[in-house]
Amino acid sequence: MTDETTVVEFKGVTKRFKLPRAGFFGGSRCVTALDDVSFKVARGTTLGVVGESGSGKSTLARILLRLETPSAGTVEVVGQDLFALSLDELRALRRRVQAVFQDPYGSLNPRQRVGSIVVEPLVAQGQRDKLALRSRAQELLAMVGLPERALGQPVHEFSGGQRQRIAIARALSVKPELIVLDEPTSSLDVSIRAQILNILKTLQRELRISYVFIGHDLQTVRFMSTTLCVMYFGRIVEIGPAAEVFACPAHPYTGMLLRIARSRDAIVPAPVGEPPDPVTPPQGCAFRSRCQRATSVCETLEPPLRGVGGAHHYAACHNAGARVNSLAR
Amino acid sequence: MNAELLKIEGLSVTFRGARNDLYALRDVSFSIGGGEMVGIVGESGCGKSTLLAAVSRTLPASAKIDGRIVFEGTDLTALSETAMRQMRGRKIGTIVQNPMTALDPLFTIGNQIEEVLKHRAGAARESVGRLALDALQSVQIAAPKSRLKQYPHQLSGGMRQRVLIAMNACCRPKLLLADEPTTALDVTVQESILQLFQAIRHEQGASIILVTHDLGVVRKLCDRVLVMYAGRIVEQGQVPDVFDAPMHPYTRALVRSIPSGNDHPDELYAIPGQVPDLTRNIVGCAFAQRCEIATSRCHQHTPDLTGPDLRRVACWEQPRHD
Repeated sequence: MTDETTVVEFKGVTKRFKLPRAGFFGGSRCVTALDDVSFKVARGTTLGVVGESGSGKSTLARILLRLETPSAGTVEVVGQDLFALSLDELRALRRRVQAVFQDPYGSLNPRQRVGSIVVEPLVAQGQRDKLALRSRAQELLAMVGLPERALGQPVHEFSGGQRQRIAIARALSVKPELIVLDEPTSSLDVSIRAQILNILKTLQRELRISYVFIGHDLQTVRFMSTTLCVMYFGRIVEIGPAAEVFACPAHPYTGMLLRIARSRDAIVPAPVGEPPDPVTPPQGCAFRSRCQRATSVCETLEPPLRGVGGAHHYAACHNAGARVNSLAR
Repeated sequence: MNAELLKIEGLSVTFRGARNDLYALRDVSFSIGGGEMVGIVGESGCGKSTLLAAVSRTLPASAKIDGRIVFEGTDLTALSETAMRQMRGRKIGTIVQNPMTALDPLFTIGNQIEEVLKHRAGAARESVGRLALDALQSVQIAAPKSRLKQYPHQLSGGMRQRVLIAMNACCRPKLLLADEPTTALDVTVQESILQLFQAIRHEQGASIILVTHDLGVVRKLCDRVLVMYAGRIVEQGQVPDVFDAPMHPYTRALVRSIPSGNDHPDELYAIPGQVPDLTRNIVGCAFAQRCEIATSRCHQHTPDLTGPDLRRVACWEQPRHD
């Protein structure tokens, strides 16, 4: 049962991808992209998801948009079981959940005019009134700070930052309750990135939209997030109120990310190695090969997420406690 | 600073287009000493990648080049293609953003490193196998022996970038051109790649030009920084000076617009407007349209890059040094 303020709830979501057999006589292999992931997003807040490539953050977004079906677990979006919906019900839900992707060159048709792009979701929902569509398009452009004359221009005349504004305007057209933002500013220049992040924040304040904001840049995700979720190797290794996770990270991986993000003048001594091979996952904690505090228990037992310190702050580390505060310094 | 290795004088690059020409670089001059690590920062379209391509002479045929690029006393713009090919790889190395474009997907890592060793580094045939192994070890690739037998697609992005760095390093280039070398990588991998650049510079004394839009990377790695805007250098100086006390309004705005993570504002500083159209002839300062302190002079006359030797800024509203 989800209460009214919960917009998204993941319960034990797991996604395995089957790989081709290793040779003719090889057994079947699979990769666990997402492993037992649970979280909630409250209305009007942002869940920020950070992690490296292969951490499962994009799989999470794709499941939330029903572009992938989970192997186990349930996903509830605005109180409905996402994978039990009929096609008609799904169409109705698309009104309430929208997405903005990383590459505004790939996600917008370059030949289409801006005026028709931004109201396309409305047309797909059955809106046919030309006048209403036009005035909505004008409204949307104003919301993202584009001039009205942009309406008649084709997309290829716009820069990356402007295109991302168009993509945001399109997502807003149906007045969604949730927008999934998958690295929306990663391909943009710093000065433009700040413009887009400010627009997103203002819109959230005014329209009480919830965001699931996926990124790899900790500073950017921190700026946007109410709750911060750190992923590693398909699992949530730490989740909690963004300010608290930043102030006292409980998982050594979060600590490492923070040290890198905070060190302005010096290179942070390289963390040894890279994430393990997902086809042959290690026993125990997946981070132990790069962890300086790993002990024998980390080699055998996968650490569960458990409460650390403050309310709603959880970390999956055998050694997590209040004292890891020093890690971030 | 050691003796001058590279001197660029009045470099302009114009791309000839069907409808209009694009002025990508406009009268750029600077020099780099031996063993120096210089960062070039700026937004997309500011000309930073064009500048690197001009130095390695890999610009497309539609580019018209004016000015001089003097490397160890030789003007590269006047060099024949054959002579230039001798420079590339041997004396001037290149590291690109996406290593997959520089590695051949059909050959093993070992093949490709050995090829470089034989044809560019002049290693003897019987020693290349051992040298290739050393090369992979020097960039901290675990289990290098088995990696030599693998193909590029079997390696992670960070690993591929290491291989590319190893291939460059084994030729001991005097100058290494790195175009956004860590942009496609995860933050934790980025740090270890930056360490490799530091090592190459300390061990081989190579000069490195690092082009990036990430100010953080330059701050961590470089001695000196050039800030570019719309095809021109607008500010240059030692890294701490430029980042802690930026003089050009554009540099100031860039530094301000990065979320710091420590303080948590409700709004980030954003530079209003956008970069000018480079197909037009820009009158006055190119940043004037977006600048908070621009005066009528800024809109009419282009400021020169002036100042004491290492610290220069192109802005009318700064204390003049001439």
